[in-house]
Amino acid sequence: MTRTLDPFEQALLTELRRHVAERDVVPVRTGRRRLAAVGAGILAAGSAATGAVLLQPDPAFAVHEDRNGDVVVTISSLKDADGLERALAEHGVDADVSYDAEPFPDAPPIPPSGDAGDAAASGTDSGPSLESHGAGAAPGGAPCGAIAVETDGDGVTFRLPASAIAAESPLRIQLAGEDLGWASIGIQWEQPVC
Amino acid sequence: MNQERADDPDPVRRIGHDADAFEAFYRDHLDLVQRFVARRVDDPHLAADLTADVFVAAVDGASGYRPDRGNPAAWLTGVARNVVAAEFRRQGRQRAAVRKIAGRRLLDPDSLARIEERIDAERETRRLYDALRALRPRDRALMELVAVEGLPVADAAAVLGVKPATARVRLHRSRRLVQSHLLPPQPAVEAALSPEVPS
Repeated sequence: MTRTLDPFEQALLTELRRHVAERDVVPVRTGRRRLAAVGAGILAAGSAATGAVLLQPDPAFAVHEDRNGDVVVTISSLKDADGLERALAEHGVDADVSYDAEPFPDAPPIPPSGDAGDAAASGTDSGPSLESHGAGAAPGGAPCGAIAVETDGDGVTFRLPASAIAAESPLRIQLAGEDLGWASIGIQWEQPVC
Repeated sequence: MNQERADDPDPVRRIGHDADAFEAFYRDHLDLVQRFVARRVDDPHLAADLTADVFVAAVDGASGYRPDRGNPAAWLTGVARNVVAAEFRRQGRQRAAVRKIAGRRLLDPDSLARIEERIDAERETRRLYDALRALRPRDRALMELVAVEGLPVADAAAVLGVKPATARVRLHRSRRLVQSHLLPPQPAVEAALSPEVPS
C-alpha cells in the first residue's frame, strides 16, 4: 500500500511500533522458548547450578523458567530485592519485592523444615531445588491463584504457573524475618489470575 | 535478541519482534483490517479501538503463524475475527474493556470522519453480515470469510481447518439459507452471495 497514512493511522503505527519494540525486551513465554546457550548447556549437564549462580558468586535468589513456561523462584537470603524484581521482569512477571516490611498479620509462619511434603524435607538437597516436588499443594488441588511455597534448610522456593503469569497481574512478595529464620512469607497475585 | 528469532525469515513471524517488519506488514494490511472492522461495527470510536486491537493481537500471536494456515491476509482475517468476537462477548457480559492501545484516543476529527465514511460505505455488507446470523456458527464463519471478506474458498477452508471440498458443500447450503432471509432482495448483497465471488 503506497498511500500516505492519515493522522490516526500514523499515530496508531507509532504506538504499535513501540509495542513491538517493548516486546523484544521481554522474552516470549512459550514452551518452545530456549534458554541462552550457556544456561542450557549447564542445565543439560545435570548440575545443580542455577541461572543465578552464573550471574553472581553468592546468589540471594534464583529464577528459572522450565519448559512449559512455569517460573520457579528460590530465595536463599533477604538481599537484593531489586535484583529479584528485575529477574522476574525478564520472565514477564511484574513483581514488587520487599524484605523489610512488617510481617503480614494473617500470613501463617512457615515451619523451617518444609510443609507437608516429604521430598522438600528430605534434607538431601543442600541447595535450592528446581524440581517440581509434587509435595505441598499439587497443581490440581491448589485453589486457583494460590502459590505453593516450599522451604528447605537453605531457602524458600515457589512456582508461578505459566497460565497465571499470562494473566499479567502484579505479584507481591514480602518476606520479613531475620536472615533465613522466616517470620512470615507473603507471596500473592494482586489481581485475579484465573 | 534470541538468535533463533533474529534469523527467522518468515515476514509474518518477524512482526512480533522487528518493528520495521511490523511497519511493512501494517502498511500492507491496514486497509484490510479497517474494512473488516467497518463491516462489523457502526461506531467509529469502537472501530478505531478494534483496529488497534487486531494489530496488537497479530503482533502478540505472530510467533505462531504457519504458512499452512493461510497466506498472511487470510491469517490476519482470522485474527480479526477472533478479536471482534471477543469484543462482542465482552460487551455481552458487560465487562469493561482493557486495551493495550486505546485506538479511539488517537483520533483527530478528520480521521474520525474518514472512519465514519468507511463505515457508511459498508452498510450493505453489514446487512449481509447480520443475515448470516441465521447460520450455525461454523457455517457462518465460512460464509463470512468467503462472501463478506472475499477470500477464495481454499483460503477460507485453510483458515478454518477444513477441507476445501467440505467448505464448498457448506457454502452451497448456506447461500440458499441466507438468501431466503434477505427480504427484500438486495442486488449488491446477492452478488456477494453468488458462487463466483471475486477473490
